[in-house]
Amino acid sequence: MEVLLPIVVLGGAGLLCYVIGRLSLSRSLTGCVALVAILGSGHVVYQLSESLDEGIVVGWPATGPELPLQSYLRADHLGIFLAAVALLLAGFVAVYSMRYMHRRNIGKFYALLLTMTAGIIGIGFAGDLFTMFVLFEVMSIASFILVAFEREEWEPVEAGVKYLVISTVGGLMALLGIAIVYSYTGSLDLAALPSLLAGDAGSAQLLTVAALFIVGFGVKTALVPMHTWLPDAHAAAPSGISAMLSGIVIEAGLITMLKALLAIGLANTGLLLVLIALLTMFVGNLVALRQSDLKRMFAYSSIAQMGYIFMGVGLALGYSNIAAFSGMRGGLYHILNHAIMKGGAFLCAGAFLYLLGTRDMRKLAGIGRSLPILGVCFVIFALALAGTPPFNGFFSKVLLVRAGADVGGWGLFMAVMLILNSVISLFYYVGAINTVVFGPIPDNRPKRLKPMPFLIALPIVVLAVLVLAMGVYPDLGLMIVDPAAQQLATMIGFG
Amino acid sequence: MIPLIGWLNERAMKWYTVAASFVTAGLAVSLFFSAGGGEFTRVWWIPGIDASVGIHLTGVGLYVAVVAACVGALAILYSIRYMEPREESYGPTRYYFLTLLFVGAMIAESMADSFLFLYLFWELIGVCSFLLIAYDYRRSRARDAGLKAFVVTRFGDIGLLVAVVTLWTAMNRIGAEDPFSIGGTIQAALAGQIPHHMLGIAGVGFIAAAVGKSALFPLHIWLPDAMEAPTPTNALIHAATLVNAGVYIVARTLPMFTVLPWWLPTLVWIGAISALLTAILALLERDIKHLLAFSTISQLGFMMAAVGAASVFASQFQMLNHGIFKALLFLAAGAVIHTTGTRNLFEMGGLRRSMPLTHITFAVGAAALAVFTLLNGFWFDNAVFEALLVNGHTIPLVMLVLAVILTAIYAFRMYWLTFAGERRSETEAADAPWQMAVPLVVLAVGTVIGWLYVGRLAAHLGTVLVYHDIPPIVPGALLQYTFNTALLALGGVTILALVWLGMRWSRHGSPVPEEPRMWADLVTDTKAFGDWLWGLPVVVMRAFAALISLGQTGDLNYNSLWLALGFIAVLVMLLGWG
Repeated sequence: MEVLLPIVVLGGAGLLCYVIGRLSLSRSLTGCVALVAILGSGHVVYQLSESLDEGIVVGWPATGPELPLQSYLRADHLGIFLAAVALLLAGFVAVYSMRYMHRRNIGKFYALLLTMTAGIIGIGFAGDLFTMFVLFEVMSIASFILVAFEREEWEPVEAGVKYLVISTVGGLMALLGIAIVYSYTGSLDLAALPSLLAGDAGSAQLLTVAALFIVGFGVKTALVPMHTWLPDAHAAAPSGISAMLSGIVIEAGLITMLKALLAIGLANTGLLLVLIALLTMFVGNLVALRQSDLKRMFAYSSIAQMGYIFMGVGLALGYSNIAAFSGMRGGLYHILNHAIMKGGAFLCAGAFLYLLGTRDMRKLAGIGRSLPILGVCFVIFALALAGTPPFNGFFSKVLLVRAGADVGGWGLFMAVMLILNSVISLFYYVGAINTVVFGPIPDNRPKRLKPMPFLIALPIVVLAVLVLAMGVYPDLGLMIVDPAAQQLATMIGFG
Repeated sequence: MIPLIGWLNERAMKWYTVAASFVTAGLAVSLFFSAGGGEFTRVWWIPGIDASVGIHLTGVGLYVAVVAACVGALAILYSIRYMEPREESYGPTRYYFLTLLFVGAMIAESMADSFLFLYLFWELIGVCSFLLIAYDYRRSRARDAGLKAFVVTRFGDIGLLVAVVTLWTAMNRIGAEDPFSIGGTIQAALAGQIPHHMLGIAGVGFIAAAVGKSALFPLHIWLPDAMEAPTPTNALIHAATLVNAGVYIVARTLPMFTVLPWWLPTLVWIGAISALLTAILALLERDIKHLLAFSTISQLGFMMAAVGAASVFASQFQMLNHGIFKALLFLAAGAVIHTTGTRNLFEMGGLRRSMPLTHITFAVGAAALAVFTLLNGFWFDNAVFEALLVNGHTIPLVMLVLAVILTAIYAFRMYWLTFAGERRSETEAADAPWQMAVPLVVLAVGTVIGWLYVGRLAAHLGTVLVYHDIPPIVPGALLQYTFNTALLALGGVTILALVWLGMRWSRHGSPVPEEPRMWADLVTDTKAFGDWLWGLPVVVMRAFAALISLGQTGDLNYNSLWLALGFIAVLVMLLGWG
């Protein structure tokens, strides 16, 4: 029952938020309800991790799946990791949106935010492919509406529709894959599937399923060439939602893919994933160089960062030996770090957007000096994203590079490619700092800006402090990353 | 601390900075005399990846730390007056904060006994340098120069990161207790526990890092542009400290790579090319700060070549002296710029009478530049270099000798153009106020007497560097040897001839050419076309980015097409491999 609880709490609170928001139109009240729900589920997740550490297997239903198609949720370290990251970021976004969003549709906003978070947590805890797919779609549907949330404007609607169509195609592909698996084995239980499919390893059917999973879930993960929806969606969404999409939703897509691939026994996909990762990081970084729209630049940088994460995961899958363990570790740690630093970066860009009504970097020039605190935070986020010590992005990258060096051969090549990409990314991150913080203030900007609401600045500052803290003391993050990485390593077959 | 105090009171903040820096300098010097075999403390930092933070005083690091602390203190004192005109437009707090942070990071880096820690501070000084170069952020040239310095040195940092991670992996494989320890890694390498190919990768990495940070060929393009920074920053970062980090790191890790046959000759070649190329550029340059920047690169080339000749002591001695006299030259040049308001050598001249103190100190610096470079020849003549010579490395030797002679020529050219001859501009010039004068005098005295400690330094280095091989040296023998070598005697005669020529020139009117000098400006402005060379990858990268952007139409039909193509590609690859 405890496994279901966070999802139910978030879903129920979502309904409550909708009603409260509709009746009171108060942003603070609705936001506080959402925040309480997030904190409550956070507490439940913490309890879950405690009982998991004591060796108690928590599932729902408690007796385990009885019928072949019964929905089944099971708490494991990977699920707890995903839930923790999602709830952390959702909490910051909930606080931020209390002032950032307009009061008109505030109930709907928080309801969707909570639904999306519930979907992400469900993906982590899902025990069978069917439940995972349903909750994946719950997350997706909530995110479509959130991207197109400001429906009076053209850009978000266009982005939302694009996102909807492409994601649906991807979802259907994944569903086809799940159907093929079911027709072969008559079971969708993630734990039971590997042994059922063991005899078929390497068969054409299974490889087709693997391809369907990689491409289907890869759409959500924004792997090149399935990434085309992402820049539009992330740039057009409300900034809090951009932070969520970039910080956790695409990573949730990755974990979905990972769980699905592990269920069908990998089927030799390892080096292919590394190749996709290489392509993803290059495309993301090179195109980001050309952007003048701040949020769009961060969106492309998210693609590149997914490439880094995917490289670590791909190395772990491809080599499946203990040398690649730091790849898994680095990948998961980068998920956590990316959620914090990219979330913070998007919230920062949103704060600038809130004040000046533009995302164009040239028009934003010098804003970092008018608002020194936000300026410093912006510098911290950008440098962390570029992988500069002493910020958190550096350590996960070190782990990823280490994975490459450990496995040798292609791994070493990938490690060098990753560092090369970090240098390319430096051009646009430092370029953005140069413009946004040090650039000359345009003449037509009003002398006095709107006052900065405290609740918008607070999450940004706290995230920046976290970035620094986790850079100086990486064990803070490794605490929740390591059990999950260990579990995945065991599932792959080493560690 | 500084932002806080600066917020309370600007004046107090400045003097606090000065006090703090002098205390640091004092501590560093006292360490220098007290440290025997090296003090050692270690704290476990990140248990997850077995990272520890070790502080280990080694001889090599101590030199870097002492130079950084002392020159840092003097540069900060000097800044107090030099930076005054800029304080109206830029808050001074940022400047002093960054400078002090920089000095601290430099000292920490030079004392770290953990590759990870070393890397962290390596990056930190990179960031400080970027922010200080771009200090004058309202000018786009300063911002661009900062960006350039940061990105170019990052190319070297890639090498360092790869090297650190490779050694980390190697140390983990042999099950070392503390895989990041520098001393431990050196021991393991000497014991032959680290495989040669890994050592090779690390060796390339360290060379790349050193080349990037020390602005050697072919990454020398950032240093002249970095002259957009305030002059005390140049004296501090681009003469005395940051650029030494590159030499430091190869000197520190030298014992590890002695097993690689190609490693030392590579250093010699890089050093020789840098030294000669930038000496020529310095000869052609007409901006006094750019000239000093080229001269710095040239000097670093000598140091690198000295390390390459396995003569760590020569490089450290050169580094110590160079740190002092180059800071002196920069600060004196800063005093000149401060009063005349120009950096163009051809607009100076005849400042001898109006700025007597600056004149004398600058002359001492320029003489030191010529003489010490010459003295360096002594060290090159040791057994190891002869071994290189036997192995057919005569070309670097010839290049270095040429560079030595050119150094003497450009040093005196700079001096004549600035102080001798007739006044070529109408601006008023006067000596600097005492806050600027004191560092000049101290540095000048340091330059004159510093080399007398050579014997003591050699003995000290010999005791603290376990893995390096340092012969004991006494000043008397040094002098004797110097004057007994034919090569050096020839160099000395050349210099004397040049001095005499210079005196004649300065009496008989100006040596300044009247005609336009397009080609020379073109060569120096592009750093011997280095800018174009490195501009090329950027252009290629941009072109690729543009090409990829073509596929990013935002049209839903195309997006779906990509999706379908991606699926087919993945399927084909999977079926093909499976």
